[in-house]
Amino acid sequence: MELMQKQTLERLAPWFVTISMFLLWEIICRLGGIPEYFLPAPTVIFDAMLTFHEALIEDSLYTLLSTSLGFGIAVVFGLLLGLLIGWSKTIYRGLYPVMVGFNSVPKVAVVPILVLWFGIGIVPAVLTAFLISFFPIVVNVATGLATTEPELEDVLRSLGASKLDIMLKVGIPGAMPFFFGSLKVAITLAFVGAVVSETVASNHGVGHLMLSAQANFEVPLVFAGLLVLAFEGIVMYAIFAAIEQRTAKWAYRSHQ
Amino acid sequence: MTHFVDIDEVSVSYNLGEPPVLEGASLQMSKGEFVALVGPSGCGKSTFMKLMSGLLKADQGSVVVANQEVTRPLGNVGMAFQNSVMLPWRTTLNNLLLPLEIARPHRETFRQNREAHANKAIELLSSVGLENVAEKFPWELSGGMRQRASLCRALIHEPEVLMLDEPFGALDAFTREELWCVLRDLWQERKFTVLLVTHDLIESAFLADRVLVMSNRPSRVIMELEIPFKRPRDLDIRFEKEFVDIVHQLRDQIRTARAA
Ligand SMILES: Nc1ncnc2c1ncn2[C@@H]1O[C@H](COP(=O)(O)OP(=O)(O)O)[C@@H](O)[C@H]1O
Ligand SMILES: [Mg+2]
Repeated sequence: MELMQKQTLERLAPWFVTISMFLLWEIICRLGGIPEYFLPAPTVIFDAMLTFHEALIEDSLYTLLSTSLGFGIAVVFGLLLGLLIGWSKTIYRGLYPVMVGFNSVPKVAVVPILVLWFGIGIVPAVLTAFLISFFPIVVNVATGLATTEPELEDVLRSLGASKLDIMLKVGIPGAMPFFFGSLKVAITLAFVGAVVSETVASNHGVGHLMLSAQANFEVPLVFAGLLVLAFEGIVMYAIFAAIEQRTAKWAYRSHQ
Repeated sequence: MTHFVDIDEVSVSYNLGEPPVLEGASLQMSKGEFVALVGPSGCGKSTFMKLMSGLLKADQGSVVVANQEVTRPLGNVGMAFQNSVMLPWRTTLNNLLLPLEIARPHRETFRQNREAHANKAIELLSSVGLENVAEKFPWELSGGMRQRASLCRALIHEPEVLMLDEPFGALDAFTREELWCVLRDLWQERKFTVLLVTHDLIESAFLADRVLVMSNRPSRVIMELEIPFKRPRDLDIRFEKEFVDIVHQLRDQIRTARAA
């Protein structure tokens, strides 16, 4: 009985905290007399959401599209590059300095170049999403491949296994939890990349919407955009966290 | 007479310029013989084993197994280690089938014969006392059960040679004794050729026909001892005087080897 109560409490805790946060926010705004143009109360923001729901839905779908495209390319490219790096030490060594250099460039700094090449629009957003999100996938896949136990490799090689056999039977399945684990990080990053690029170089998307709202001093709409982004981000993260759990049950069980 | 396993005067070093790990090491085994290899830790026992299985090439000397010069892994060996290295995403049964997916000639026909293989695997599992674990995942097994399964995996493709590198090193004393008997019975029944690396002298004397002692690096076999007890041996043999004498003799040898 007590255990059940505790579990119920644990399940309800996140809702409780979230709702309390909004309540507190509302109260502070109302009682503190904080002006709407500085920090609108949640109810004001929800009201703006209703008023502008068409634009919000359209723009968030647009942001979702550029995020997904960039993320999709990152998954394919990241997986391939990760496998390549895991396959050969020489390739790894060769690519290492380039990758470290690439990773240390803030990707936002590439947006002007992308605009220079592709103009304002969806392409810079997709590419920024891709550039910012593929790296964790590469690193995780390569790390996953590197965790193959040497003894297991010996067992298989002694049976006459080729490098490809070992990769297919042990390396790749073993790297899958790492791969799926990286996706929830990568999708979040892709989202950040898309929004940042939209904010500075697009006529669509939530980023652009927020920037225009700010220019028009529609402060509640700016915050409405922010809440929509938070919501989208949470949903995408949750989806990939769930996928991770399903695809790699064994990884949780065997390392507990 | 030519030996089934004939390793002649091999030398190996891992890194250029370093003193060799093995130098002039030799080992002969006849078919179906059970040989244990003991020696100070780090002397090159595992290296010796890798050499014999073709995982590692000798700088000098020759390695011949079943009249074949070993220059690459031959596929007719089974291996098990201290760490059972099962694939956590496969059931025990599918872990056992892994060698058949890899080793020739089974791999070409693996799909057609999968059912027959699975039956064989289940039979093998029951012969080591693992009746109901085929569908369990490795993390659901105890250490001893995993090690039994690991032995089964090493034997599923009916290799001529079984190589065991401290396979019972991580088990508690009772489980270890149980597994000695499991291995003894498997060997009694199938008479594969075994090379067992161990640091447990009692284990070596209980299981093997012959115990070889290796020296410190650069290492080679410096002594061998026939274990005369008739088979099948009972666990209680360990407390008989002749047995204890042999263990003492081995211990003295290793002490000298370490001092050298
Ligand atoms: N892959 C390797 N690279 C370099 N040195 C190694 C490697 N494997 C083993 N050695 C060295 O070779 C020596 C013998 O190792 P090993 O055969 O594992 O000894 P044992 O199994 O008898 O404990 C050790 O000194 C070890 O450090
Ligand atoms: Mg060793």
